[in-house]
Amino acid sequence: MLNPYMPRLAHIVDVVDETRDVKTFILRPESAIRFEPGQFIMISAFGVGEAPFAIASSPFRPELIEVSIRAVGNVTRALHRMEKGDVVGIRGPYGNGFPVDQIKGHNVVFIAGGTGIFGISSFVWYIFEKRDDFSDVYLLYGVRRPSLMMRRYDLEKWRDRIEVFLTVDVPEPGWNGHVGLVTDLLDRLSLPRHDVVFALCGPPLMIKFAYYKLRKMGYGADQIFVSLERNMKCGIGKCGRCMLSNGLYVCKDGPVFRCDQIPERDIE
Amino acid sequence: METSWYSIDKNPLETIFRRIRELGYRVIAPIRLNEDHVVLDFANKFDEVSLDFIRPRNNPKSFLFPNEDTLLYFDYRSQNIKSPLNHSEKLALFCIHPCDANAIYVLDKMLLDPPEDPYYMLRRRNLMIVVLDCEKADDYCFCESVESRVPRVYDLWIVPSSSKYFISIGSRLGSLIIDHLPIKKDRSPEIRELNVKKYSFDWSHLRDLYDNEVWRELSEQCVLCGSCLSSCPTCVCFDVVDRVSHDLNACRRVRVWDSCIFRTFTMLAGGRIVRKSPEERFKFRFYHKFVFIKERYGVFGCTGCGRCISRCSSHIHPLEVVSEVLRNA
Repeated sequence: MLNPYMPRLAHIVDVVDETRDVKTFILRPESAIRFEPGQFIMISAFGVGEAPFAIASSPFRPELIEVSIRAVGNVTRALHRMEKGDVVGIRGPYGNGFPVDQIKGHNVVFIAGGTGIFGISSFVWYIFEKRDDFSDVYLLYGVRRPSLMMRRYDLEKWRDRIEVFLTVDVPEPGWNGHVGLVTDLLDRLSLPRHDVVFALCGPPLMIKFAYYKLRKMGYGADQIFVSLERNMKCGIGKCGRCMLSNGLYVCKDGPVFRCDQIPERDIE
Repeated sequence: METSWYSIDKNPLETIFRRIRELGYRVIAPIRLNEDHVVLDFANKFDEVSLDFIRPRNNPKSFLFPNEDTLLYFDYRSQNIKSPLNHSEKLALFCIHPCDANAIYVLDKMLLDPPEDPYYMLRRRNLMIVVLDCEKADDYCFCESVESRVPRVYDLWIVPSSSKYFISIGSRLGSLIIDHLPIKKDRSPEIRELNVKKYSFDWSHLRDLYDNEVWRELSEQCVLCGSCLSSCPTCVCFDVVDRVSHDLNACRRVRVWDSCIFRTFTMLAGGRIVRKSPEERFKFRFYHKFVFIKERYGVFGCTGCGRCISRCSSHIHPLEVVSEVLRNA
């Protein structure tokens, strides 16, 4: 019988240090996990628990799944103790992902803060591979300090095909880039007014400020997509934990929402 | 759907009880614990069954969606994940009331909505439901106000009247149970009106009142203990917990009943809580049951059984709360 709660095993092929408390795990599942950009998976550290993580790697490489994980809770700390060769449980993919076909042909502006970069990475990779299907593409990425910049190797590759703008809240020696909030970058860029779609992912405050800023600049809520983070235990619309205040499940109806489809109070 | 009715003059319950056991079912029936409490529990003899009750303390959820249900086992040495899915026990709920049958209908909607919850489905597939209509209600009952007076799912529905017993057959299994009984085709019985107070609302306004200030005041009578939700026959929100064996060689993943009224329910790794204020957590229950479930599945997530009121230290009545909120529409 089909049991949606049953994970498959995945081997940790490699672990990459991103920052002090963030590591990227490269996983090889027993069989390839085909996914849409923006979908997530549930990863088990058996004996500790299970948690949802965005797939940060390219949907065109389903046999190797990358997840970047900050050690903040029980499951994430247990995963951080694991090494190359260890085994985790993995199930999914879950969620709707970005509506790629709707977004095709448009200009795309990604706005990401901190670990929020993981939530949009798979979509950026999709665009990277299918670059001709989209118009101008920008990535605005902000972190607290330059040393907290994550997935630099991806950012460098992406620069070949999309416009990447980085900013930090607090500079460190050697940083020549922009200093300030990621939303400040919106003022400095001459972004297209029409046919543009925004994709947000980041900490609640960043999402909130970016959303209201874009609305103030005259963009419609239907031009803004957001990938939300909520507590999840099942991933399939049963456990009830991720439900928004309009009854939609982040796990099943999201995690990507067009901002006119959810109450503003949930855009955080 | 037109229900066809049968009747029988002699009380058929004992015969039905025996027949259910003959068919290989374990019977779960209302059993009196003491003067105050009736519970649903396993009964081997008809004498154990108590029919003089309004609502059992527990509800069918305990058998179909038990707390601490095992989802999987993991063995660290063999790195093997094992599923415990092998329930084949046939269970019969004998003489539950219409509200509790309707609670199973709501559980079906939520848990069998694709992807199906296999742990629930396996138990549900082997479940027989015999509904005994209510002869009385108390101040806490409000099934008639939430479209729940008539059971939506059953194998047999038995309605006692002054002179005879009416029987509606809801499935082939239902007809199998009573194939030896001398039943006759009959008119439909009169379905007793039971509730002391009837509420009639224009529910459509509730959705727009989420941000209304009245919620704050109403939430102040709630101590956020969660009794309403743990006693609720349709609350199936859960947590998932891994338990490591004492020899450290294996772990068991269980799901534990949880409540949206608790702080930790929406807590993320790192400590962020999505619904922080007591007010937000208090009102979420009402929105889930009366708005969200209704919109998604076409049925209220509340059957009017009244357990939440009976357990609540402030006796918070859900429909009194809703009517207070709707007064602000």
